[in-house]
Amino acid sequence: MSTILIAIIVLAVLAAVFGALLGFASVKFHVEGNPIVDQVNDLLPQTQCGQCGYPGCKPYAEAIADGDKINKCPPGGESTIQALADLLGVEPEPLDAEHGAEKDVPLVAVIREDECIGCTKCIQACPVDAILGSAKQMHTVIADECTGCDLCVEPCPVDCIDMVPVTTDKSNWYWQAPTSGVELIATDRRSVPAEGHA
Amino acid sequence: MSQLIQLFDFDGGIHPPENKHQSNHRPIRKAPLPDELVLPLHQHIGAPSKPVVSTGDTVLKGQIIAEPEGFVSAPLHAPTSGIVKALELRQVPHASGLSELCIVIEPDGKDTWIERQSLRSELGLSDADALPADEVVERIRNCGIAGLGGAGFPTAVKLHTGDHNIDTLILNGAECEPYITADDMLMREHATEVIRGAVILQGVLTAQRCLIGVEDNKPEAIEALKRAVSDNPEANGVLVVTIPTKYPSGGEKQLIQILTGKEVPSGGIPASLGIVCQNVATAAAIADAVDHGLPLISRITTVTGDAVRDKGNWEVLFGTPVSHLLNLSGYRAQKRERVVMGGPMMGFALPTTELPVVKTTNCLLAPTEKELPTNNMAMACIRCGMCADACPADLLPQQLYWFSKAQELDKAEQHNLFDCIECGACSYVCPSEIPLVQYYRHSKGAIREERAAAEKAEHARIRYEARIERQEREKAEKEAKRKARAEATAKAQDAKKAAAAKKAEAPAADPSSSNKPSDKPAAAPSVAAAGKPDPNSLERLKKKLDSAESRLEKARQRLSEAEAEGSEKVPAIREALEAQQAKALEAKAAYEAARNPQPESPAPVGTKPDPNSLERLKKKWDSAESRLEKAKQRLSEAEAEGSEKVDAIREAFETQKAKAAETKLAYESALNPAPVQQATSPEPVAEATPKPDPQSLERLKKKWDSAESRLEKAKQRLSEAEEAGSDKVEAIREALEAQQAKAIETKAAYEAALNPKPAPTEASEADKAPEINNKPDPNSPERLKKKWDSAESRLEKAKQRLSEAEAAGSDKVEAIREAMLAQQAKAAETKAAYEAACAPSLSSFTETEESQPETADVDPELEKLKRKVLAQKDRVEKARERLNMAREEGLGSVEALERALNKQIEKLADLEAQTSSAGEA
Repeated sequence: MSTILIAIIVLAVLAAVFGALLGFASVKFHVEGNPIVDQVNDLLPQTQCGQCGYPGCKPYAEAIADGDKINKCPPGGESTIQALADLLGVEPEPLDAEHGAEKDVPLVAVIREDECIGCTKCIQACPVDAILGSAKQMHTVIADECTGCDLCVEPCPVDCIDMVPVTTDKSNWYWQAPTSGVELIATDRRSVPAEGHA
Repeated sequence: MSQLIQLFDFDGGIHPPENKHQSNHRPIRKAPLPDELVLPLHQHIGAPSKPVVSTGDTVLKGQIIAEPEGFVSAPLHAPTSGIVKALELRQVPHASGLSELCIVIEPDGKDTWIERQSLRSELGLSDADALPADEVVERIRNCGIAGLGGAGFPTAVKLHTGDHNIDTLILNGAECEPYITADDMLMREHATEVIRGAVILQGVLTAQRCLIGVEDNKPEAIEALKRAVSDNPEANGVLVVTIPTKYPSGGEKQLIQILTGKEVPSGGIPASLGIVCQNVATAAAIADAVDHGLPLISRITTVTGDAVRDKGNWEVLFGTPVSHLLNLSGYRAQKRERVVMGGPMMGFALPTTELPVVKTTNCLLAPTEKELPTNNMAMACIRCGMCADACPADLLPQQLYWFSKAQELDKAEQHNLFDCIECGACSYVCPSEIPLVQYYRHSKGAIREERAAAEKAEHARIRYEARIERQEREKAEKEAKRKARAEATAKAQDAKKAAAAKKAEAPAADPSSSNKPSDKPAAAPSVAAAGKPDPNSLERLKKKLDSAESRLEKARQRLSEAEAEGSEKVPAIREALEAQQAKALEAKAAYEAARNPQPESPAPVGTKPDPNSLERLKKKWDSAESRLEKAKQRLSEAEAEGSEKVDAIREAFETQKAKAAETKLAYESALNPAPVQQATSPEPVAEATPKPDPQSLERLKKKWDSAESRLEKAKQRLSEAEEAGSDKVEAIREALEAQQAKAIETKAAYEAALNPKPAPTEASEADKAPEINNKPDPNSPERLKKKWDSAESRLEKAKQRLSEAEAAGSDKVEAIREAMLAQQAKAAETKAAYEAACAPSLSSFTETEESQPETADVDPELEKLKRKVLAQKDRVEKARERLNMAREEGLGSVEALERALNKQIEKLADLEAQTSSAGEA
C-alpha cells in the first residue's frame, strides 16, 4: 500500500516540478510573433510589387503562414515556390498565372527625364523609395534601389517611365553553361532540350 | 647557389606538353606603333577608372588619362603621345565579349614622354636614405601597376596588408602554363629590375625574406636572376628557388604551398599567413616606376601557336590591337580562326582579333586545329575519378560537376566550389572531355548572382520597412496634431462657456444694482436688451481687437520687410495688410460699440447723438487721416525713386484723400445734427423710442462696415489692375463704382436710422411714423451731400487720369476726356440737387406740419428740373471755356466745340422753359 502511495506522491511531485518548469520557460522564452513569417519573408524576392494581391512581401508572408497558396509570386518564380515548398513541407505548385507571369530578365524602371513633369506620383507609388525628385522637379530612378516592380509605371500621367532590362556588364556577366552535346546515348541526347542545358 | 629551403608539394597537378621552346629563343622585340590604341577603362580587378581626358585632347606618353575610382582601382596612362580620338564603347578582351568604355588614342608617332623622375629625387632623398613605404605604395598606385600575372589585381591594394605581419615575399616566376614564355624572357633580360623590385617590395612589406619561385624548365632565367641577386648589394634576403615543373605550380596558393608548406585557408588571403605574392613582371614594373617614374604602359606578351610563323615575345603598348601583333608575327588565318588570349589551359578564345592588348594579356595563342583540337564531343561522365586526382585544390570535381549540372547550387557551394582556381587540370585529364571548368564558372556566376539578388532583396526589404514605418509615423503625427487641435478648440469653447456663464451671473446681479439708483420703468427692459450682446461680447471683442491689432502690426512689419527686400509680393502683402487694417478697425468699432452702450443704456432716451457712431466716425476719420499720411509718404518716396508705380500710387493717394474727406464729412455731419435732434425732441417717451432700434441699427452698421471694407478692397484691386495694365480695369472700375454707390447708400441708411428726421419725431403719434422714416429718404440733404462729395472725388480722379493720359500721350485721351466731362456734369448735377434739397428742407422747418407733405409733392418735379438747369448751365460754362481754350491755342477742333456749345445752350434754354412752366403750374 505504502509503495503505491510513494509512487503516486513521487509522480505528483515530479509533475508539479516539471509543470512549473515548463510554465516558467514558456513565460521566460516567449517568442514574439510567428517565426515562420520571417522565414517565409526571407525567401520572397522583396520586390514589394503587390502582384500576389497583398500590399507587400511581408503581408504575403503572413498570409502564407496562415495557409495561403505559395504560388502567387511571379517575381520569385519557380525557384521561390520550390524554396517555400521545401520550407513549409508542402507540394510545390506551378505559378498561378492570374497573378502574372515570371519575367525572364530582371527589369529596372527608367524615367525619360525630359518628359517628366514632376508630379511626384511615381515617388508615392514606389514601395522602396527608389525614386528621387520633388514637386515640379525632374524625377529619377536610383537603378540600384529599383526592384523592377513596375508600380510606378501606371500612376505616371505622362507615361514617361519605361521598364528596361538590367544591362549586362562585366560585373554581372557570367559564363553560360556548356551547350555541347554531352550525352552519348540516344535517349539521353533527346533529353537535352528538355533539361534546358542546365 | 644551393637551395637552402625545404620544398613541399601540392596534391594533384598535371604535366601537359610545355610547348615553350617555340617562343623563348628570340629576344624580346619592341612592337612598332599601331594606327590607333584602344584603352579599356577596366583592365584591372575592381572599379573601372574614370577618364580625365576628352575627345580631341593631346596627350603625352605616360600622361594619366583615367583616374582610379575608389580604393580597389588603378589609373590608366597614355602609352604614347597623340590625340584622344574618341571615348566610346568598344568590345573588350573579355570572355563575355561585351563592350565597355574605351579611350581611343591616335599616336602622333613622336612618342614624346611627359616629365618623369625617380621617387628618390622627387622626395629629395639621397641614395643612402631608405624609401618611405607609403610613398612607394603611392607611387605604385599612381603608376597604374596591376598584377601582370593574369588577374590584374591592383598591386598597391595588395601591399596594404593591414594588421598582418608579413615575413615572406614571394615572387612568382613559375609560369607554369604551356606556351607562355613572357615571364621567362623578362627574367632573362630584365633580371636586375626584378631583383630591384623585390628589394623595394621587401622594404615596403618589411619582409625578412624574399623567395623567387621559378620552374626548373627555365634554367637561363634562374641563372640570370641569381646573377642579379649577387650583383645587387641590397638583395640580402632574396633567394631564387628552383621548383619542379608541374601545372599549376604558378597558382598563387600552389606556389605558396610549394615554397612554405602552408596552405592558404579557404576564403582567406596569403597575408593572413604572413605572405605576399607578386608576379616577377609586376616586380620589374615596380622597379621602373620607383626608380625611373615609368608608369605601366606596356608589357611583354608572347605570341605563339602554329598559326603564326614568327613566334616570340613582344614588348607591347597597351591598347595595341591583337591583329597588329599577329600581323607582325606572320599570322596565317586558319579555316576555323581561333586566337586565345592567355594560355591553353586558362585562356579564352577571342571573338575577334580587333581587340586591344591589356594589362593582363600575357600571351596570344593562335593554334592550328591539329595542334589544339576544339572540344565539342563531350561524353558522359564515367566516374573514373581522374579529375579528383588532378585537382590541385583537393576538391571533388566530379561532385561539383553533378551539382552544377543539376543546378544544385547550394550543394556545389557546400563542396567548396569557390575554392576552385579554374586551372583546367580536371578538364585536361577528363577522358570524356567534359568542359568541367565551364560548368564551374557558370555555377560560380549563378551563385554570385543569387547572392546579389538576396542582398538586394534584403536591402529592398529594409527600405520597404523603413518606408512603412515612416508612413505610419507621419500618420500618427498628423493624428496627434489633429487631436491636439481639437482639444484646444474644445478647451477654448469650454472656457468661453464658463465665461459666458459667469457673465450671465454678473448681469443678474447688475440690474439690481443699476435699478436702484434709476427708478425708471423702462430701465429693466432696456438693460436686458443691451445686456444681451454686452457681457459675453465685450470680453470677446476686446480679445478680438487685441489679436486683430497684433496681426495688423505683424502684417505691417512683413510689408516693410518685403518693401525693404524689394520682394515681388509687396502688392499682395499690402493688400493683406489693408484687409487686416479694415478688420482691425471693424473689431475696434465693434468693441467700442459694445462698450459704449453701457453708459448709454441707463438713459436710453438720451438725446445725445449716438456716441458710439460719433466715436467711431472720429476713429475712422483719424485712421483715414493716418492712412492718407502714409499714402502721401509712399507717394513722395515713389516719386523720389522715380518708380514706375508713381501713377498708381498717386491714384491710390487720391482715393485715400477723398475717403479721408468723406469720413471727415461724415463725422462732422454726425456731430452736427445732434443739437438739432436734441432741440426737436423735447418729449422723449421711453416706450415710443424704437427708432434707434439697437438690433436694426447694429445690422445696418455692420452692413455699412462690410460695404466699406468691400469698397476698400475693390479700390485696391482697381489700383493693382491699373498698375498691372490689366484689360479688366474697366470692369473693375465699374464694379468699384457700384460698390461705392452701395457703400454710400448703406451709410446713408445707417445714418438715417441713427438720426431720424426731426419732422416725424415731432408727430406725436410715433407708432407708424418711425417705420416710414427709417427708410432712407433718397432726397435727404445728407445723402445728397454724400453723393455730391463722391461725385466730386470721382471728378477729381477723372481729371487726374486725364492729365496723366495727356502726359503719356495715350490714345485713350479722348475717351477719358469724355468720361471726365460726364463726371463733371454729374458732379454739378449732384451739387445742384444738394443745394436744392438744402433750401427746401430748411424752409420745411419753418413751415407748418400740414403744409409739408404738399410741398413735398410739388417739390420733386420742380427740383429735378431746377437741378437739371443748373447742371446744364455748368455744362454750358464748361463748353464755353473749352472753346475759348481751343481758340487760344488755335486747335482744329474749334468748330466742333462751337457746335457743341450751341447745342448745350439750346438744351439749357429748353430746360429753363420747362422749369418756368413747371413753376407756374
